[in-house]
Amino acid sequence: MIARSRIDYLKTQLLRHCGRFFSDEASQALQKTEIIFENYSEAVQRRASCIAVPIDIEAPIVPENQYTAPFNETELTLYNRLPRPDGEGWACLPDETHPIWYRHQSGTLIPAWNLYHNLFDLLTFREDREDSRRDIHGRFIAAYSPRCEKNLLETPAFNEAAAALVGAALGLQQDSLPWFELDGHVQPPMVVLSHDCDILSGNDLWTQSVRAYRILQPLIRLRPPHLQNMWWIIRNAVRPRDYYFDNAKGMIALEQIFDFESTFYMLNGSGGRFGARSGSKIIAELMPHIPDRDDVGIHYNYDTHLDNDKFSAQQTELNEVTGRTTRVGRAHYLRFDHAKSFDFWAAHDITTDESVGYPDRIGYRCGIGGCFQPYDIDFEQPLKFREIPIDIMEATLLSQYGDGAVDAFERMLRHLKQVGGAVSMVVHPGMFFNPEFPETRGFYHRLLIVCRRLGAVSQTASVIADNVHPR
Amino acid sequence: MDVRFIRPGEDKVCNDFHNHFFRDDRSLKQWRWCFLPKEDNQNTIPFVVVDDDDRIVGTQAFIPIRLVDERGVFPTVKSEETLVHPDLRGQGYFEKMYTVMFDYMKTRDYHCIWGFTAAIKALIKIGFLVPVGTSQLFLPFSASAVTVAVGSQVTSNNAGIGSKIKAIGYKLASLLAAKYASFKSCRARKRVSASAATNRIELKTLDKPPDDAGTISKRFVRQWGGVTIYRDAAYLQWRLFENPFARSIFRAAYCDNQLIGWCAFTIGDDGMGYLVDIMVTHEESDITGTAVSLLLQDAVDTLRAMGASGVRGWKVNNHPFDNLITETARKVGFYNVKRGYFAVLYINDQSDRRDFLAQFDNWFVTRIFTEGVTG
Repeated sequence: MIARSRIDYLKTQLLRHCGRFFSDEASQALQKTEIIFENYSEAVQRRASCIAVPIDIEAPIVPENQYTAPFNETELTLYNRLPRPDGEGWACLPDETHPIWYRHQSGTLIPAWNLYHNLFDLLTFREDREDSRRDIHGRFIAAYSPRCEKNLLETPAFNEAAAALVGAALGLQQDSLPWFELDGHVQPPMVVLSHDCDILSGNDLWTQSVRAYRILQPLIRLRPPHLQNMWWIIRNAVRPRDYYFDNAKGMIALEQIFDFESTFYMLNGSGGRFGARSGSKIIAELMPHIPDRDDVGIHYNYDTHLDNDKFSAQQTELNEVTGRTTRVGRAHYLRFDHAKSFDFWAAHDITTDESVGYPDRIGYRCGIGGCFQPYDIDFEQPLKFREIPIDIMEATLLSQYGDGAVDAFERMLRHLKQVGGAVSMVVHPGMFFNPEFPETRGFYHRLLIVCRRLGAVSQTASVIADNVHPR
Repeated sequence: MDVRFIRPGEDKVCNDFHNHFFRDDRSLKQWRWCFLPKEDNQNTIPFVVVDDDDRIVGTQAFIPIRLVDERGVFPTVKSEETLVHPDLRGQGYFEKMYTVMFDYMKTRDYHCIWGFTAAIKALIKIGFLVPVGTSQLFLPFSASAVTVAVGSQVTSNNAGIGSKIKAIGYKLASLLAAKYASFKSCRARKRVSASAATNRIELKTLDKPPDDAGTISKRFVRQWGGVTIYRDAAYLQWRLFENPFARSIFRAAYCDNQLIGWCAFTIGDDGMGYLVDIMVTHEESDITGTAVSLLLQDAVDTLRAMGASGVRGWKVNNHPFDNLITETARKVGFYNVKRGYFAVLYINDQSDRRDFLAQFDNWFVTRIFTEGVTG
């Protein structure tokens, strides 16, 4: 028996998402439409103009029966197909081989895929819950996800389901077939930009040691040493802010040209290889350069993971340094625990987080390009907390796609333009424009050009969270 | 064939016509920004088309721009969007479109038509003057700067040996020029910073145009003479702050908290930085010179941090302020490259400023008037 609160939760997430990413008319159509969550056997008996979503067919952890269906000049990628209802009067729409809906002639629509379980499982971290593997940093990485081998990580399953529901609702409100074209009803795609300020000065011991190691590393394989690292060592010893602090200022100026805004997540607190390498003083020096339209958040230090004292100490110091009360954050190394972290952060007055993503692949960790409230499975209730999963990290995008990285980004954004939603992307200052990493030169600029060409708008994480799930 | 003004609803076909022939990706929003705010009081958009049985096969547009000289503000138009379908070239449609536009200019008392183009032959034929060939200010930051500047990219692995040698040559030239410019810039930076402090000059980034921008334009022509674009707050708002191609960074210079000028710059889709506009006016030449240096240095530093491959600006003529910019830019590390578009000018024979406008060294114009991503 599915708890009622789970159904209400999913419905709320869908309605709020559609309220932000679709036209008022579309959003109202969805609200007016009767959407019934019930057992499959009841759904197939229903004879009314409504959407009946089966909830009693469990979804396998490894997606099955994957297929695509044409929708609004893109394709929906659906999986865990539901059986076609028996009996007279049922048709597959838009066609028999690629169904999005099973439609009875009375007007009843049943999604052709396991909409409820697919989405609920994604939003509640079922993969994390059922697979105990973790990497050395304690993370559930993309390589462990069954969706990774099925090439589903870049499928925004939640957004696609929402778009299909909007199309169905618009059709039902006009007593017609579900719409598969949403002309004028999808809001422009949104980009949620952010910058993790891990390193603002390139001359710390750890960064310089890594460069020294890179010089010698090839010798192990009897290859010539990478002497160019000597230059980076000398350069940042003489001019520590080159390509780090200065890049942060450059990113601010670049975003201003595109009329985009972003969040700067500041890493302070304890130092070390995985800690804050540049100290806190430099954060205070960066603050005057951050314009009002941008936001400042806390980059939870590595050692603060579920540690109340250390987290409080970092937060207190950052608030002093920045002169602001930070309410938005992201975990350094994307360390989080799906069962404990949201409560933990909320207890520290963080209201919005952008930690939920994969370090090793780009993609929609929870199947959503946008914002959602996590759900507490134990207490069967949604948390008063807003999560905006991080979809793209610049280094991951580059390592995954190489020369095709910009095209891959464009593909994702173009798809969101058709199904509605937001893509969250992090670009580190040190990877903005740095000859030490030549592949990064001009990369962020090219991504922003794509955003502009596709008519994307930009909001910071806290603004979009306030829009979708007001506190 | 009908040569007539654009009609409501034809924006999309006109934009598509442009995109098709220039292999461009200009959006309708961008087209509207360029041409729509320019409806006159008779609701005519100065945009002429050649209509071939409901198919647009030629376009010619004007963007009304007010200039200012010591006598005051007066209206002119800038020529834009000149395009005739290749199949129709040589059949007189270019002249026919301009005939309509010349009438438009005269009936509405515009003083002149002006513009910048590489294709001057056809314009000379219909009466345009070509007073000057422009040059450019250029400061490379990286090895790719010259390649970007000349628009020559060796993309194919199968490119000929000649192209490859040329590409290597461009890179080497860029690198050497960048290093030398960097050295010059280093020397200038310290001097400029010290002088700015002495002269109490500070820069601020503005996210909306200064209310008294128009006053600066008027003061500018009183100090420097000649004629320039009348940049009031509304003009700057439209041209710089609402530019759907790319907004500019707008850095205003203040001396003792009084606005004395600004520099606007941006980065193009090609990764090159562009000086979009610069103007400074102050009765003390030291302060003016220092402010120009400071604004140029700041633009260079910011564009470098933004990841630009270099910076380009325009050197148009021998207007005293244009000369001051060039002289200062050289100290900051810029090179003056004698390569650029030609200025073209058609003066309304009823204008009472005929002789004044015909002396092109009277003009101070920057990239701010250009259509598109760089201002």
